[in-house]
Amino acid sequence: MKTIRFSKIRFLMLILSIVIIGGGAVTTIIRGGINLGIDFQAGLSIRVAIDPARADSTIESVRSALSDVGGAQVKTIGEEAARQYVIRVSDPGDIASFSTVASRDILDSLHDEFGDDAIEELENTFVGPRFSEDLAQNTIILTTLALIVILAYIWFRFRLGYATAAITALVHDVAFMVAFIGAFQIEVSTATIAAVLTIIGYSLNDTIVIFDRVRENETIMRESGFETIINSSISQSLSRTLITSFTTLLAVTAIFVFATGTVKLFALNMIVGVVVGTYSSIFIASPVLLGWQHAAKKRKARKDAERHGAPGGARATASDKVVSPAAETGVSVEEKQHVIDEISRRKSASAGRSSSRAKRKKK
Amino acid sequence: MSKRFRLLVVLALIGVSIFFIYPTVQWYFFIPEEMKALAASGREQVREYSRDEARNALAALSVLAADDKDTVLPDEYSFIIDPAETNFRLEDRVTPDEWTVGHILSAFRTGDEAFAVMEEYYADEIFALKELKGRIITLGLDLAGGMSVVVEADEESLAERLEREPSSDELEEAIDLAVTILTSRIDQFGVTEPLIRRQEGTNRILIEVPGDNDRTRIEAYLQGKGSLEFHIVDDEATAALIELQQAQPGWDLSAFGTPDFVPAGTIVVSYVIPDNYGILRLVRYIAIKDDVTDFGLPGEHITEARVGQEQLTNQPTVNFVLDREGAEIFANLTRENVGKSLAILLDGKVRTYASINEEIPSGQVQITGFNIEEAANIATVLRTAALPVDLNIVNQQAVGASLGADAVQAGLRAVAVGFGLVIVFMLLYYWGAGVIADLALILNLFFIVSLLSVFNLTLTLTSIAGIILTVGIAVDANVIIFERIKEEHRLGKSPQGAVKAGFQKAFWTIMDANITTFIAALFLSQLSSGPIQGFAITLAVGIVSSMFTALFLSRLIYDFGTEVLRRSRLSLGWGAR
Repeated sequence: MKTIRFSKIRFLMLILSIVIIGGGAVTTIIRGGINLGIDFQAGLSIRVAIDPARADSTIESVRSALSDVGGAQVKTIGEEAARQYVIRVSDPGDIASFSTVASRDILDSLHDEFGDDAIEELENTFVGPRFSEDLAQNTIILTTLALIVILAYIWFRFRLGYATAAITALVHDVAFMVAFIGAFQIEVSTATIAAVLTIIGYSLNDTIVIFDRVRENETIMRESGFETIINSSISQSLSRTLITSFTTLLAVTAIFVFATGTVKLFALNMIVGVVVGTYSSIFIASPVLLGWQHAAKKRKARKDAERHGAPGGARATASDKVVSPAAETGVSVEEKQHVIDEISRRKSASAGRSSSRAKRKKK
Repeated sequence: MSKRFRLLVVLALIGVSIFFIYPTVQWYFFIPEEMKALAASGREQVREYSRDEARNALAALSVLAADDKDTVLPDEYSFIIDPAETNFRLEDRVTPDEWTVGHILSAFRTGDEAFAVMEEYYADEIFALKELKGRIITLGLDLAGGMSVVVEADEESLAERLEREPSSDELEEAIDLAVTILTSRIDQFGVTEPLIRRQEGTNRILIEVPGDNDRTRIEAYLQGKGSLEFHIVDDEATAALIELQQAQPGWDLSAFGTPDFVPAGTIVVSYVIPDNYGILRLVRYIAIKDDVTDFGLPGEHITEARVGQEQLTNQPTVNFVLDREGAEIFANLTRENVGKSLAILLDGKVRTYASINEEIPSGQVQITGFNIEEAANIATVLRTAALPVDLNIVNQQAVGASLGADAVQAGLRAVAVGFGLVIVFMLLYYWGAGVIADLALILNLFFIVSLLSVFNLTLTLTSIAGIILTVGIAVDANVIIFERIKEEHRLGKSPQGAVKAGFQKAFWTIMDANITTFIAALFLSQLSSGPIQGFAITLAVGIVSSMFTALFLSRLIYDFGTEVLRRSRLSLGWGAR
């Protein structure tokens, strides 16, 4: 199998990510921040259908009918011809039984304008101020806790470097999704949280399949540099990564096409998330792991150098290159052996099941 | 593990799944709509239905008997043979070989007895359906239409009522009481069976009312104060009513209307007592004087109510205190009506009635004549004429049934299309192995649905999204395995060897990858919001099920292919040799 050198463009991709996320963040701020939906913003939302047979059931006439109701926002939902509208008013918090009063006001106004039979109340959602605060708080706490547990699990199953790299990719994915949601002013609901958390799980899944391969290859390809190991690991699992992302996209796109309302938005967020999650496991998680490994080697080499009583600086750079087959010059066999032994000792836990002979032949 | 054992495990699991899915299939495909509606209705409706049915059945039998006593009992009434047979045995009569209408009617001493047996049968029929309903996947409010409301107890209102800060115990009690009151208002509300549950550790109560209901009516019902009134009982009309109810088993106010002998100014109301479930059950109809100003007392005059004990007899009593104005009205009322009965009505239903022995001038009232439990109930009723604490709506969602039906359509279409696309893709990409993956996928969906049935989970739009997403992710485990097998095969291993190595090496990859997703799903399920919970649980269930199907089932099929069928070629589609 051909090894694609993904790591070559890692800095380019990093810049690309930063530019997109930054651009999204700026756009979000310009467009007035995140578009918080009913779940996070105390208020009332009513979805009505107005008899499509009536010529005057346009959004303008709905707006004018509701001009007396303070701060009512009207939006069309679904097909224009279906004449379905969502009307939202926010809860100032100082009116008793706001939901009942506001619903009555809105429906009365609509009845006055279009007649009693022409209006069908399809959905009525109210979220009180206390409730929305609690939800936002719970969401943040749970997401943080979930991340900590996941971090601990990967640390336990792999090593800290892997965990850090995986979490970095997750933060990237979440930032990307938030930037996307903000830039395109997609309404944020509880379903959005579900989407983001699912993507956290999904992206991790992707990352871990690659990392699992990296861990395995670390023992098999002991002679190669970590960069090569990472590149071949990504290449080896690439077909799996693409197929799984593709099938998931098939399923999620089906939801996007057929659903309406929040579930449609959920599917849209998921589509973005799946693409970003796949991208990040290749171009964010793996390079971060590579960087961590480089830094760790440097640290380790410096420590070794100090212990051996040799001049620090020069030795450190030299041993950094020990595992890189490209630059073998100026490194003693002992040093090379030492580093290799150190790596293999640490990895021996997962070494048992390899068929290294076959692997080497392939390489 | 031997292949045979593994095959048995898979077959057993499929069997168990069928067992769990069966009620759902039965419910959605074989039970008529009107029966479903009945099973979803409150006890009041069930009682009405079973009494109606029993009345009709009894009337039909009587007509048949009047025509010809020896008519063979029609099949639809065969349920009555068993109790009739028991009665025959008790009376030492010889049971006939063929039951006729005459035999049946003669088995019961009174029409009332036959009626009661029939009513019980028809009611049991519905309760069996209700029980079945507890074992199926129900549609959530966003799919079936309905309303879900979260209300929060307003501590300030309680403080106002108590004229001091309530202690946490008092608040707890007030909220529990509010739940009790809301629950007992179920009957009044009728039509559907609302779910009323206190949310653990909060001051919130969740109320869910499925079906197409009038939103404003439910809101009124939730925040309504409830009405408590004292009325003088019309003893004459009540006696006549009781006689009528004995003569005509199953007599019903709604079916027959107010009888002619009830004089003007008197109305027929139901006398109810709470059953073991705290749900009000009709005891009988009685007649009361309608006018509350001349023949009664509004409940707002009560200032205090508690359970006591009569010193001589140790009988439990209910003691309540009236305010000054109330005491005056009550004194007049009792003086003028000594010897008559006084009924206490809550929300238009008589909860208790007792005879007035003497004038009660002090405004300190003691009523006796019930057991300790009833006394406690009545004290509660008196204390809680209104809700003990104001409830504010903090979250509410009402979905019209038409929107729900559209959502079901959209959801099913999305599942079908998403599922279909993935299946076709796997076949195109993996050929033979694709069949295995697809088989695993179908079983996966099957397991998920059956697990959802076991937990009696509600199917919401988001959980449908969870299922679809799981379908997409479910093939992942198989993809990991197939890609690994391909790789091992390319390295020159035999099909068996490649399969073995592929599964072995993929095992921990699949475990690690799925466990992390599972952790995310687990945390997601803790978010106290219904729709997300549904999604997270579906996802978690899907992960477990997809791991099983991939690691266990696919392996079994592979081994079957390579070892039993001795196939020497792997069919792995693109990229394989």
